[in-house]
Amino acid sequence: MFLGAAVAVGLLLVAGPVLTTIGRSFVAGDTGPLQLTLQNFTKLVGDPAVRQAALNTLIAGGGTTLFSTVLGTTFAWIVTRTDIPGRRGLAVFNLVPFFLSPYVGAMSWLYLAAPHAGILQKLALQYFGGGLEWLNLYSVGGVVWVLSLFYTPYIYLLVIGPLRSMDGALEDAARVHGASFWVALRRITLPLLLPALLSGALIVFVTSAGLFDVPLALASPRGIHMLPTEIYAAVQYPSDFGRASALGALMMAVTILFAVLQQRYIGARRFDTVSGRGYRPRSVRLGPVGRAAALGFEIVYLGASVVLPIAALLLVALSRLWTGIPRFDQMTIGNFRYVLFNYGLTQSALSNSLFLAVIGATLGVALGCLQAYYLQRRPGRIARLVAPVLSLPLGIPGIIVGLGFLVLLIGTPLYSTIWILLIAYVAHFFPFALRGISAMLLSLNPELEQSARAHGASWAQTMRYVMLPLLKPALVATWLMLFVIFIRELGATILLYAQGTETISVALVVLSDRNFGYVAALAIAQVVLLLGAFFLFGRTGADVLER
Amino acid sequence: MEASGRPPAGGPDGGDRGYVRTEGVTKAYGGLVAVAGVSFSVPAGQTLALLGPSGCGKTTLLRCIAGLEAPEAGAIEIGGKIVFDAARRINLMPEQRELGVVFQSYAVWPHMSVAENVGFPLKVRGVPMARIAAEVDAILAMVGLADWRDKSAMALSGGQQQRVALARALVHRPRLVLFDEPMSNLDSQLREQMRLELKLLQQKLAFTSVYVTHDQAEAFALAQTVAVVNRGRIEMMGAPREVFRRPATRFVAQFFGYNVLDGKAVAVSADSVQVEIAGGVRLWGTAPGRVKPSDRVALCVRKERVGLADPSRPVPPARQSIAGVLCAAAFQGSHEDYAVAVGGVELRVSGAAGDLAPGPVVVLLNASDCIVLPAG
Repeated sequence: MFLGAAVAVGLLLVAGPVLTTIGRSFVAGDTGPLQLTLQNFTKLVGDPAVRQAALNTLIAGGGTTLFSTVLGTTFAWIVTRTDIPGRRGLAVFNLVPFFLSPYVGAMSWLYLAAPHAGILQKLALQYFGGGLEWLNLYSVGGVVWVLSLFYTPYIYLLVIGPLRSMDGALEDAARVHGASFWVALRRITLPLLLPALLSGALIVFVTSAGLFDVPLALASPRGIHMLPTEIYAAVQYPSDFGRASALGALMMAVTILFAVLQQRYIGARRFDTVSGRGYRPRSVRLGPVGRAAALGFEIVYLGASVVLPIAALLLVALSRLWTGIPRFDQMTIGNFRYVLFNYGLTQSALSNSLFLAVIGATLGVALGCLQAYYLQRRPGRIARLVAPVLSLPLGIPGIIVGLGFLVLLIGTPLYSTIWILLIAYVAHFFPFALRGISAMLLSLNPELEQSARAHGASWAQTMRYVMLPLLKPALVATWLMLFVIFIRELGATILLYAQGTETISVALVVLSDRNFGYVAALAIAQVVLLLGAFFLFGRTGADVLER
Repeated sequence: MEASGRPPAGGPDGGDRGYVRTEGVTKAYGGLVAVAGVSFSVPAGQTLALLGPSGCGKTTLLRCIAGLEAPEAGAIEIGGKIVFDAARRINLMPEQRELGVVFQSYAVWPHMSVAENVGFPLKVRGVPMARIAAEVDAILAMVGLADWRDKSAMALSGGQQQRVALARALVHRPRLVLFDEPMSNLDSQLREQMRLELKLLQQKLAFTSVYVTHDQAEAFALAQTVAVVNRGRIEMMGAPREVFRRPATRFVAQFFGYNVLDGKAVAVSADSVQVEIAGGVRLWGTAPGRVKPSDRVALCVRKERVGLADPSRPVPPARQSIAGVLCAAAFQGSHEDYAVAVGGVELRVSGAAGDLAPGPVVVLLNASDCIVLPAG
């Protein structure tokens, strides 16, 4: 049937790259007869560069997880539990970094603070005689800094719901029975948030450690090894697919191990079934000092993650020749004109990205919708086995998905077409749609559907008049999220693009050492697309923030 | 226990001044006044019930006493210690008020065991572990949860969670125990059982408490004093029997399920008043306050105090009789509920299960059962 077919397609999309990567990791050589071997793994273990890369990746992922967990929880607490002025607006603005591209973020932080060249470095030199020399973005620390800015909203999103919907009596009970504010926070509020925090931390660790974009911009230029960039390097000429696949297989193994541990842990302590009616938690009244501190903290974060990077991009894009110092008398829109109307590479990059994002998001949502419906209506052993497999790609880095499809489809007519990109995009992110739509379906009482059928509507009419309208907010929100993800995708694209199928992100990488002005102008075009999606997202009525 | 021994009843903090007192407590949200100048006092070891419909402000008042809301005006004193005084800018934090509170949602912490939940008030007061264990065991035995000590709070039923909440509110012998609709999430059978168990605990431990509820049976069973709250004000305060049998206002009568027949006073003699209700029917009743002829009044009568008779039988001479029509009868087990139309208004009647059939009936009323109160 139709629904079953969608699930089957999903399983194929997951199995293709995963099994290919694992299979290829046990095959020696690039040509000649198929020969099973473990030498790809033994070579990795003996390679000090790989060990260094693993250590750096662990530090980057761990550091990012730590910082974004602290920041995300703090901001979620500030906007839900305090009387900070403008908290409704801040609640939404805190999500903006979620929609921006980490690669562009890393790039614009280089414009801002690259050693000797960044705007902030030059300003510090000019006005304070230096003082920012310690700030070296080309380092693991720089990677952690930029990643933390962009992963903070992940934790924020996951924590804000429980913080809002928690029964306020749980905290009040601690206070009236003798606990101070801080004791109640430590013994009641934080432990109750722990399941959400842990699953958020796991997602951040796995996705940030696997992200290719930021290490490419900040680690590779100084020869600092990280696992995603190692995979990329192994695929470059002279390519060693065995080595790349072995690296990928190891990263996937770690991801799956973490996911299993987390499921075990969270399964043992699910707090959402506590009975009894509660009320909304009370807000804390901040004094003038507290209010200034909270507001200052918000301003620093939004400044560092949104305002400063975009301002830097604009300055560079509007400059005739970028020297690190903005010259307002020499501003031009020439870069924009060239990138948008005269330069073949960037023009085709824009149209390729738009094509991939629109078609990919539509396919992803359609697939996710059908699968969610199938799994919902057939909760049984099949669904229990299939569901975890279908969410697997969420934990797999884009560069590994790209590698899998590269190995699988190299030599087929699909290779070096835009379709291989489309397949990789959908395969990597349809689980995202499946999850979002499943959550929405789960919140709909099945009696709504049964009632339509009982009153004489056919299955198609029920879908058309009852289910789709009810699901619409989730569908639109999911579509926009996929659009955003696809507009900025780099990890899989970098391995699968060919001449003529460059996307915006690829063009940014390709141009990065040629012309700052064009890069910044193209990045601004991408930012406009992403913020446009964010704006629409805010209007869909899909209440990610309210519950 | 560490910080506050319970004073003996009638001790220095007890007596006439009251052990717990509120004075003119007022709380508004924006323009909406939730609590409008409430004053009461509770003697040591006694229970005051705040009884009223949902939204009347009783829970807000309780939260003001607990320190979870800050009133705009008034003062609150617990055990001789001022915990809130708007004029003197005193507002103790909740944790400084030495309270026990049972919340409507129980608020049992799901990440802790039963013993950890119950021991929490002692733990945050720095009581040694061994003492905590002993006190927790003692109170758990009292609420009948001794065997559940080390179970996760998640494994408990609603009724058991309620017992945990109760034990937690009592374990540190607080100066005052606050109950916020603690039984409203239990089914009716369990509610009756818990009511009696709570009454026993009250007698054993003699704690002072304020008990918020919308259930009159709970208030009557547990409290020495009942305050009926309406729109942020106390409409009437008194012993349970007094407030139930002699409601002072139309609202109180209606809240207790009286038939309320609006009308006009047509004749007054001493404390007897004749009232003309809709349809021109005239009835005699008793007025606790002053009523003048042509005042708008409400004649209130409990449904158990209304008699019904077959019109073909002779009427007992001592009672007033009016003609009515029996519209519906509903068998309730121990009794029967009737709806009777009298002169255009509907009367609720509760009587022994009988053989009355829908149709004309004679309604019998004693003038002493009909309470005449000012309208509105």
